[in-house]
Amino acid sequence: MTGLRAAATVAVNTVQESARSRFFALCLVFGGVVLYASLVLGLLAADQEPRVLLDFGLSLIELLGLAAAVYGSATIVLREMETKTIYLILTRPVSRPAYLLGRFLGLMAATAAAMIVMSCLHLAILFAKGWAWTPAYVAAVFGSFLKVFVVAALTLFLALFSSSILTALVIALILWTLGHFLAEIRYMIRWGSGLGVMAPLHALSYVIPDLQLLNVRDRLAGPRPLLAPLGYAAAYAAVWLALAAAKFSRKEF
Amino acid sequence: MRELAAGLALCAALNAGFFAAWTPPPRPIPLKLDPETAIESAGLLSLGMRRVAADAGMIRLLIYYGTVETGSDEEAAVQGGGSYPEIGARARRILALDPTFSYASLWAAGALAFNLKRPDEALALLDDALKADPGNWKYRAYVAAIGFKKKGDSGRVLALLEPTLSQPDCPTMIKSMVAFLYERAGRRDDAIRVYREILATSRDEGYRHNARRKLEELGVSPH
Repeated sequence: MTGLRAAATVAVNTVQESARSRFFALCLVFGGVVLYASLVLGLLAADQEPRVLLDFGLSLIELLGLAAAVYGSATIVLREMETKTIYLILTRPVSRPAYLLGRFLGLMAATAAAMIVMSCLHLAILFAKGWAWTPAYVAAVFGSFLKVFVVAALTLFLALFSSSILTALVIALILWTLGHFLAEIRYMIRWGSGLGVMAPLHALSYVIPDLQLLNVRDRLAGPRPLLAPLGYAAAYAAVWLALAAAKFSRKEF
Repeated sequence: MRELAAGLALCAALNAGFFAAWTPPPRPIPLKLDPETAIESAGLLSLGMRRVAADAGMIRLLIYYGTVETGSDEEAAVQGGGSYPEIGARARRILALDPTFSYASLWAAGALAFNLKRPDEALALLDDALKADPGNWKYRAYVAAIGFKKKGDSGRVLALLEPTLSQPDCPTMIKSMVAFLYERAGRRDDAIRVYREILATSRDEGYRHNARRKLEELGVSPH
């Protein structure tokens, strides 16, 4: 069995497991309920109801996708290591990197499917409210998925590095917020006094992912380049996935 | 530890290389947070939700202007009168959060200039809006219309605002005012057209009710 075929088999299995998991079902149900609740906010916005419904819905889809992907990344391998079920797979001709890649890609495919389902629900609400279709919607959901993809790859590495689900989740959420604050961080560095005080922040600004770059949802009316951000997200995620694979290859359990 | 160090080094190289080779589109300026909404704004910005923060600001602005001020005349408030000193500041905060949210600036400028009779504040707000979005012709049309309103030239006000009526970001308040000016100028058919448009497109029940009442007064069916 080649590495890629093994990874694909693990990925398909992960998608099936995710589809059966209560967490994913809960995410979808919660997504539906919250999207419905956003209708109330839309009513308060009078003439701007479609815009408010669009913005709140896209944000909720992203947050729920993030919750599913980050929680999945933090637990998917560590849980199997704890319960020893990982031996069932690794005693077969499946390399550790192939297993890890398969697990991650499967999780991402399930997350993408969940986000698409929520988007369909969201679109149904928007069309019912007289919203005019724009291709920017697809770009926004795609940008959200890229952000989730990058942070999930980082979380997978953090989970393997720290061997702690909670630590991985907390650091991932910190990176999520910092990743959206990069413009402000750079602004502070430019105006901050004393290089010594700003040096750690300066260094940090180089390593955290620039999630605002992928945040198409926040600039629906402006230019929306997608190829360069796609390349950036893929490269950033690849770095952490490769290092997660290296860490996992040497891990004893 | 080796993997972490390698990851940080690779990410630093990736970030430095990527942003040296490619310049992203300009982003909104970093926000100066005002004390009252600092926590909410920082929370939403940290989640990458500038537009949601702007939407929340707009909803709050609508509620602010829709709430009768303490001690003020309720009849005048229903007509859009009052003092509402924070309208300009609140609209500027929305503008800083989302410079493309032209509806908020046009709405606030309309309320200040035409309802609250504070055209200078409206012009100052539109000046800021033009700095954020210099290509927006509707801001220029409003500036000119407010200028003619100050001179009492309703005809020129109408001529300047007419092209903005068909735009998706035209506030119903402006449509309603234009319909009223048509009525006053004896342009009955134009007034009926705009009132009907308000009924067909607006989601604001107050303006819809007003349009229905006006159409009845003009002796025509709302449809």
